[in-house]
Amino acid sequence: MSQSRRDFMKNLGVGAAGAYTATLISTRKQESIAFAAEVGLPVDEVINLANNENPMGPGKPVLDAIDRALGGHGEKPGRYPFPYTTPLNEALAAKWNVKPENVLVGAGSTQILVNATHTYTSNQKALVGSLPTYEECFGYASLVGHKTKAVPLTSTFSTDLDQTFYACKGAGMLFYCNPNNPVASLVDPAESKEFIPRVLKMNKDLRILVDEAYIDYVTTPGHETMIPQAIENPRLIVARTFSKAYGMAGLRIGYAIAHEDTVKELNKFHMGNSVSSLSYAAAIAALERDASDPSFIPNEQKRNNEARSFTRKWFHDHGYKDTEAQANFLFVDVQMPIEDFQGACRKEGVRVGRPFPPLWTHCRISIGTMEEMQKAVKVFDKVLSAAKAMAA
Amino acid sequence: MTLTRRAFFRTVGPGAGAPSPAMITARGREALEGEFGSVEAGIIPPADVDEVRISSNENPLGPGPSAIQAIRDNMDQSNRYPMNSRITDRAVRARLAEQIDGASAENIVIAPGSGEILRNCVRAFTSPNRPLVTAECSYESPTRTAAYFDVPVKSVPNAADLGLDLDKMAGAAIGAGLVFLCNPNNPTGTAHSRSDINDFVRYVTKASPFTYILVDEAYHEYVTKPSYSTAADLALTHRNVLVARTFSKAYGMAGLRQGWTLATKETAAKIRAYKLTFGTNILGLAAIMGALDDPEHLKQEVDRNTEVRKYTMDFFRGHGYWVSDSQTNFMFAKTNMPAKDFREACAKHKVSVGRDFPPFEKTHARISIGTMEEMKRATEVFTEVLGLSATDAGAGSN
Repeated sequence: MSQSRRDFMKNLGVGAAGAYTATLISTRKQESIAFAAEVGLPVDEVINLANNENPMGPGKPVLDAIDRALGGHGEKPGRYPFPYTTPLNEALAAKWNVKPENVLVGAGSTQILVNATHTYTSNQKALVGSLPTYEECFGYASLVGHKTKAVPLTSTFSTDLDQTFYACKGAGMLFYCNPNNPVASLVDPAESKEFIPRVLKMNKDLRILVDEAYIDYVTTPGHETMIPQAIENPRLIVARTFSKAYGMAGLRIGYAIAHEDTVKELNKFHMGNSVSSLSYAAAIAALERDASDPSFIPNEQKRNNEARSFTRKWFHDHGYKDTEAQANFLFVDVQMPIEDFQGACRKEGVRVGRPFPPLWTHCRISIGTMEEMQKAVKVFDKVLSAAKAMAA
Repeated sequence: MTLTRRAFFRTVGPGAGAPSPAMITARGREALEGEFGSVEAGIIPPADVDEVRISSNENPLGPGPSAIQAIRDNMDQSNRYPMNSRITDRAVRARLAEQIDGASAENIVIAPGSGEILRNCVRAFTSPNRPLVTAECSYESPTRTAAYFDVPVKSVPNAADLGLDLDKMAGAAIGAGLVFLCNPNNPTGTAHSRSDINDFVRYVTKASPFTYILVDEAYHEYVTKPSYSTAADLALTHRNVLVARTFSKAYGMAGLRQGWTLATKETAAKIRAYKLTFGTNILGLAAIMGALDDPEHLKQEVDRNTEVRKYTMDFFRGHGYWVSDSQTNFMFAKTNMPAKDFREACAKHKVSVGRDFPPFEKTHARISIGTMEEMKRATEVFTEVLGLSATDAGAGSN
């Protein structure tokens, strides 16, 4: 997120009761500044556990498809991506057993989040979401002066369904990030299934944007996508991304699945031609691979789960508490100021997540490869031991 | 929406790396609107006219070898966000800034195509009380954005040579939020001299200090007119002037979605506020770095386009048709027939030409410049479609 947007929002003086705090939003700018002022290690030598990327990448069939999409003489990027748009919509429709008219592709799910916030919130109709949650929707609502209501998490860092329910009265849209970034927690599957229809019934104008960015990393039994409900109910939208388990964060491609009428409505705020032809080709290839060999995502989930369990165990063994991580990152109380922890780790070549106020001693740590996590915990040990020694 | 689908939408053949066969449906068209403004038939070239696709001002040869190599070298970074990848958004902005005297990375905003820059300028600088000023026949994207946000649009008729009527646009600019100054202008291909732009900026800055001026230089690299030069230095010295550029045209990267704007730091920040988070893909960023390392390739592409453009313009002029003074990789020809009829007739011969451009859609056609081989084939088709004799005036004659 850009620095200026944050400054802009600060200047707006966002801080009314229930509004997303300016402090929270402005900290996101530190991310890019911090990276820009990197301590001088080449990117390949840094263990990057800051942005919930898949360290394995998208896999060879996808990279091969990108190569082919260049054309034999490198001529194909000269053409606009139009010929790819319908094939991707159709491939996604086939994957989810929906119609192409239920699909809306964007430059990452980011674009879907912005579009839905733009379309369904206003200065009268609030955006509702957890505090903290992924900031994109709140950032956009603040930028354009739409009303926001942020609901603090429970003491166990779960989405507070009761308070969220009340906050949704008169609201325009609920941003329902599940698993929730940055805290990695998942709403209990049974409670979630009961909550969504109940809140939609309470507020007949409400839209719910379910962000399933991390769903492929969920290991809780009984958790399911909301896509089948979304295609039936025009007030429910599911956002998905190729940035996480599919390993394509740099290719900027994501999508929404929603009712046909909702897709049409979202399309009115046209998003432009923002997705690269190479990214289309990559996404199509990934879906073709899924169709012929569905093992890629389960394998990635297994790999992540092993490295996640290893890292969580390390923290538990050393007396640190974390949330029940259901994503490719974890959220742990490092018992020291997060900015100090972040800075000390960076000096050792490990990048961890930025601060998520008001949780000033919690750190979001993305899950790298097992090898990376084995190296990273040594750095954590050094940094945390030094802090304890200082405090002693 | 009454598109002549049977003629214009078709099954895409599976070429190397192409997607599997599919119809271009309504969704496909809607995806195009953001970039091209209109849903007029002819935006999407039908398969059977893929043979010569001169409809969208694309570069038929794609990016140069150094850009392609940079993409291949950075494919392993596909899993990294653009602030983490080997080539970052910031590094590219710094590299772009090196190309412009006095610029730094903070003067630049990168976007997935200059289309986003255009949209965000309309969002940032216009309102229902502060109109958009544009030319009647110019790139339509800002007009569409304005319509969505209920911003009034003052469309100034083009001058007699179909260039922008800068005097009238300057008059219309008083009290406006934003002037969209497409130079060279799409679809007419005309370019204004640097002194004309200077006069315009000086007048508007003084007469209406709160009006922003967006100079869209998408076709900048293709200009050969000696009196033309970029307004980049004005963008660095005037807080109300922005210059938009793209890698979609001369750099051959329309598929990679990379554009940028140049402005003072304060003005750039206003645009950056609306920037799509993580908006630009890392392979496109890598391609920019590769391309900027090979200025000789760009020069070759411009020379190639200039030669083929002259060939095509000479063809029309040789047959007595008026064409605008094209400074771009397309030309605007007065074919004296509706663009729709011309387009459909050419499509039957596997040549795809540009869409309708009101208010000249009954008489003029926009024709992009392909390779010399493609334009030789295209002019044969034009000869037949326009009912010309191939012998009475050959291409290349006056």
